[in-house]
Amino acid sequence: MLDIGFEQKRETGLQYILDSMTACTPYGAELIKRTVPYASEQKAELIVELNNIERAVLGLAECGEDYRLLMQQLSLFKDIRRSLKKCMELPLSEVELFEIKRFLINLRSLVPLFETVDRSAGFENIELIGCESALKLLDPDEKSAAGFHISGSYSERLKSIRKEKREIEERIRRESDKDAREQLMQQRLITAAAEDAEEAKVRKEISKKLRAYVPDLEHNINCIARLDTTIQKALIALKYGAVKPEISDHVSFTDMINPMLSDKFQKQGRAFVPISVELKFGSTVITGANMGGKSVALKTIALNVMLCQMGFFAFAKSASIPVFDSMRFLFKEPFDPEYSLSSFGSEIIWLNEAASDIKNGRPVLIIADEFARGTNPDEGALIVRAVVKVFDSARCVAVFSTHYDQASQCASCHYQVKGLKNADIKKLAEKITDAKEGLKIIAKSMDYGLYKVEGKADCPRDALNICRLLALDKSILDEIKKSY
Amino acid sequence: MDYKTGRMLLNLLDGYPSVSILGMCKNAGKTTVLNRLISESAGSDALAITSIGRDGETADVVTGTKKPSIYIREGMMFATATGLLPQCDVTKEILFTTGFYTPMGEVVVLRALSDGNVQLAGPSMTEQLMKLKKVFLSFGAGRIFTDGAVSRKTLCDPGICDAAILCAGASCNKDMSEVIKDAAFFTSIFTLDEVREDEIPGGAKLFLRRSGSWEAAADSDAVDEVIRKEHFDHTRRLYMNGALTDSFLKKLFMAGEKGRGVEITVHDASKILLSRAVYEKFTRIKGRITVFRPFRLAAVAINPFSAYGHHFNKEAFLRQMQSAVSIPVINVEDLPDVGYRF
Repeated sequence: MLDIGFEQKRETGLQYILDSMTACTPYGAELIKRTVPYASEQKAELIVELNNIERAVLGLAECGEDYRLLMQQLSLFKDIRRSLKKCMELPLSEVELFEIKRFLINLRSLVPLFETVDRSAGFENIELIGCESALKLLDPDEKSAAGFHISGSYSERLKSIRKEKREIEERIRRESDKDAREQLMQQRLITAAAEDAEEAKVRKEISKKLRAYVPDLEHNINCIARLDTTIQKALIALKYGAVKPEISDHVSFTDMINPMLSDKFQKQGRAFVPISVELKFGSTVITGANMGGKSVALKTIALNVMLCQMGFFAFAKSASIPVFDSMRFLFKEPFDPEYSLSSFGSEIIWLNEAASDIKNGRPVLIIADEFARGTNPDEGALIVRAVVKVFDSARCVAVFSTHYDQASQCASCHYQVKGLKNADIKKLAEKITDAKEGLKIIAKSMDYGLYKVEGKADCPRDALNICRLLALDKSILDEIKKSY
Repeated sequence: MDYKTGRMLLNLLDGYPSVSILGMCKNAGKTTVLNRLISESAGSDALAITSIGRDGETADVVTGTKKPSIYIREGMMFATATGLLPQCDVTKEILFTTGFYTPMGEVVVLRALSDGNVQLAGPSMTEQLMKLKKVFLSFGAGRIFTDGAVSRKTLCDPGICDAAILCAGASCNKDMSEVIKDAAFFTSIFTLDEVREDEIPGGAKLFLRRSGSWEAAADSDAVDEVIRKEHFDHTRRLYMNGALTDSFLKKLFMAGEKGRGVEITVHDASKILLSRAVYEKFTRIKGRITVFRPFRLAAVAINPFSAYGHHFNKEAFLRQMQSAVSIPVINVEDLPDVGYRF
C-alpha cells in the first residue's frame, strides 16, 4: 500500500514540504499535490526523475539566469485542460479559444528557453513539441497579436454581415433625429444577431479543426508539468542541501533532518540534531527516554524514505533506499469511531494489514511509534516482543520505538536515544521552580542523538528524572521514590 | 458648461482619468450618465469601462423596468463577466482574462471592434479593481469609467478613482426632500477638505495632534476615554487610521463638552462608513472631518423619473438640489442631444 493519508502526510512533515513548494504552472501545482511514491515496478521512472532533479540542481547553480527566464515564462501558463476536454465534443467559446491561443503563444516562447536549458541539462522524458499549425489556425491573419477575435478571414459571409452592420452603425452615428436613430438601432440588432449566428458556425469549425492538435497539446502540458515539478524539487533540494538517494537494497541515511521539525525547533531556539541510521531488512528497535526524540527519529525516517520514493532528494548528507512495495506507519494511537474500536483494537487491525503485506515477499517499510502502549504493560511487552521477532525474519524494514524491556533482544538492530544519561539531574532539579522552566532545561540537557547499541541493553530509566525536572507535586514524587 | 461642443459632463472631469459613476440607489440614472459620457468623449483618449457588480441590463433585474443599454463605440475597451458576453453585440476581441470570478463567470477584458451594446459585470474587490485598472492602462486606456454605487465605498479609494459623478433619482425615495438630504450628505463626504501632511502616520489606529505632530493614542476603541484623559493640542485634532464608523462617533458624543469641535482626519473618503444621522449630529456639535487624500465629486446628476411609478417635478428637483449642494447639478435628459456622433 503506497497510498499515504493526509494525516500521515501532515504528521511526518511531508505536507509541510509539499506546501512550501510554489509551482510556476497550475499543471506543476497539481502534479505536486498528487505526488505519490513510485511503485516497485516503476523503479526505472523513479531513477529518471531523480536524474532529472540532479541535472536541474546543477543547472540552477551554473546557469541560474536561464532558469529564471524559463520559470518566468512558465508562470504565464494558465490551465486549459477543461477547454481541451470540451473541444473534443463541443464548440469552444471565444474566451476558451483565446486561452488556447495564449497557451500556444506562450509555448512558442517557452520552446527556445527550454532548449537553452536542456542543451546542458539533457532532461530525460521532457520533450516539447512545437504547435505552429495550431497557432496558425487561431491566428489566421498571422498578426501574432495577443488578443483573439473571430476574424473575417474565417468566413466570407461573416465578412459581409459585418460590412452591413458597420454601414448601419455609421448611419446611427450620423443620425441626429432620436426616432430615426431608434429605428436604425432595431435594424442593427437584426444584423448583430446574424453576425452572432455566423460566429457560432465559425467557432464550431475552428473547434473541430483544433481537435487534431489536442493530443500534442496534452503531451506538452504533461511535459510542462514535469519540467515545473523537477525545477521545484531541485529548488527545495538546494534550499536544504538535500542529496540524491541511491536506489539499493537497504535504508541508510547520514545526518538526516526533518525540515518541518527543524524549522519548528529553530523557532523555539533549539537545534535539530541530525539523525544517521542504517536499517537492514528485519526489525530495528529504538529505545530511549521520554521526550528524547524517538518520535522525531521515526518521523524523520518515514519522511525521507517517502520523499525519496516520490522522486525527491533526501534531506541528508547521504541516502539510500530500496523501492518499497508498501509503507505502513503507526504514529498517534489510531482510533476508529466507525467500529468503535479502542486504540489497542485499532493497532491490532493495523498490525494485521502490515502482517499481510509482508506475505508476498516484496519489500515493505513498517514504522510504529510505541506499539501496544495502551494495553497492560506485561502483556504489551509480550506482544511487542513477538511482533518484533516475526518482522525480524520477514522481507521488510520494520522500525519500532518502545519502552518495553527486552524487545530489542528480538530485533537484529537496536538504536537508543541517549537522553539524560550524561546530565546531572540533581543539580538541574535544584534550579527548577515550575514546569515551564523545566521544559526548557530538559530540552537543553537532552542528548537527542541516536546511537547504535551493540550487545544487550535495557530501556533507560529516565521517567522519574523527567518528573523531577517538570517539578512534579512533592507528595506524589516522594511516594514514587519510596517504591522505586 | 460647454454647450457648443456638447461636452457638458466631460468638461467637469478634466484632468481626472479614472471616474466612477455612483448611484445612490438602483435606477438612479447611472447608465444615462455613462452613455452621455461615452458620447461626449468621442475622439478623445482611448476609453475603458467596467462596473462594480452588474449593470447595463435592458430590463432591471429587480423592478422589471426598461433600462437604457450601454452603447459603446468601436475601439473602446470593456471588462465584463463571460456569462454576459452573449448579450454584448459588439464585434469582440478578447484581450485578457483576469482570473477574477463573479457569479456570472470570469471577468474578461475586451476591445470592441464595432459599435454596439454591452452589459457590464466587473469585479467588486478593491484589489481586483486596482489590478483591472492596470490592465486597462497596459492596453492603452487613457480614461476609465466605472459604473458603481455609493454603497461601494471602494470606488472613492484614490487608488481606484480620482473623481465621480453622483446619481440621485426619484427611485431612491418617494420623498424628494429625503433624496436631496441624502445627496447633500454624500456630497459633503465626497468633497471633504484636504489636509496636507508630508508623512501620514501609521502603526496605530488612533492618533492625537500634540505639539504639532501626530502621537498614537493609548486606546483606539474608547475615544471618549482618550479625549477625557489625554491632552489635545489647541487644534483638537484626531487622525483615525482606518474606518470611521457610527460607533466611534457615538463614543465621542459621550465625551460631553470635550467632544465638541473636534476635527477628525481620515485617509480618504472610502474610510468613512457613517450614517447620515450620526454625521449630521457630529456637524451639529461643530465636528469636522478632513482627508489626507482628497476625492473629487464633480457633479450631481438627477433623474426625476422613478422605476417604481412616482415621479418628481423636474424643475423643483433641480432647483432644490442646486441649493442643497455646492457642486454643479445636471439633469442629463434635459441636456441637448448629442446622439452617437462618435
